Amino acid sequence: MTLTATEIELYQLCENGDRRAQMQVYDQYAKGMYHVALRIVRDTSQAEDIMQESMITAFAKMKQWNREATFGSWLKRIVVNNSLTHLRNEKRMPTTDYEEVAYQMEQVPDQQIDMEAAGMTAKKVLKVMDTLKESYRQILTLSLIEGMDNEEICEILNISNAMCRTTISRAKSSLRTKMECYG
Amino acid sequence: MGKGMEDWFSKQDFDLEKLPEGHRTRFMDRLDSICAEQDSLEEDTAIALRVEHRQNQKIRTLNTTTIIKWSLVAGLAILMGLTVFNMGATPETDLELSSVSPEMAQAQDFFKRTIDAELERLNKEQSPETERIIADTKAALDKLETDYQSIKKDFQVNQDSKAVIAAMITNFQMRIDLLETALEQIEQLKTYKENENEIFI
Repeated sequence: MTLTATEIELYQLCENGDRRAQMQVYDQYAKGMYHVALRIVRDTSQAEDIMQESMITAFAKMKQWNREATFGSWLKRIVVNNSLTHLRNEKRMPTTDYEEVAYQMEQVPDQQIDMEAAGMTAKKVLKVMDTLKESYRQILTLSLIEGMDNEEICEILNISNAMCRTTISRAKSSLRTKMECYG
Repeated sequence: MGKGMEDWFSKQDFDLEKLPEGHRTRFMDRLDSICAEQDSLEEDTAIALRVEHRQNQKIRTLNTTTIIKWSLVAGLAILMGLTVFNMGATPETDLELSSVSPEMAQAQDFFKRTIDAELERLNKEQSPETERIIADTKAALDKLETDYQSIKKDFQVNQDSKAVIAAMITNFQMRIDLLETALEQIEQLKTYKENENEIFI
């Protein structure tokens, strides 16, 4: 990652509480981070709330950002964490059922869907994903839309690697079925 | 098919909604309330920090009203610039603020003219008493020019960084602040001299 000298200074100013720098960073990331939260909590005012809280946390804990990841991906991680915590507090967090654990025993090939051939657009896909069950929707959001790797997802959802892989795989095949219905 | 699905997703823009009305104001209020909270919680350490902070700020902005004035100008310039900038900037050989958008070119032109005019005013004040102030100001201006050159280098690397554009504008602002401060000091020096003379009479 290349961070220009100006950017380094900008984040330093944010850490020092420079309002102008903070607003600049806010303006740069507000929209993206709002959507990250919105996709998880699915409530506009709560998404805004989480996005802004996360931004403030990021400014306060700037020292914890190791600068190996971009500021954006570090911030995204905070937003995802806060969104999931929010769901947990609201008890809307998907629970693991036996079916899924049992599925871990099976061998699952990586599911792939030809999105273009299916005539999908971002808007359509979001709609279809809304019809999936909560745990599938959530894991696909993190994996496909937010582009997180499995390791990160395991950590964030506190599940095992095998669990993660099988859930993604199952979620994808569920998505495929729903897409066929939709199309 | 390999990574086809992942590729497709990474190319889509899923950020389709608009941010709720007034989100920016709410965020600023939040920042304010956090500041207030911290002030009451860590009064003692805060005072020490704030004194330091203020000293830092003093160097940068001796005149708060001018900084507010210039922040407004710069904010406006950034807004105007970015709207056009987002539609796609055309690459030019000389990479400066002016290459971002016509509005930015205007802003840069405006800054440069203001700086030149103030510098001229400063040069007219040249006298044995003001020599020191003028020399100091010019040294500081040179330093800012060096900074500007390094920012320009950043700009070549990262042309769509809002941070870099903002840094360029801040650089201009600081020069103007510096010049205004110097002129103010000279003015003070003059009134002081006058008062002194009156006492002698």
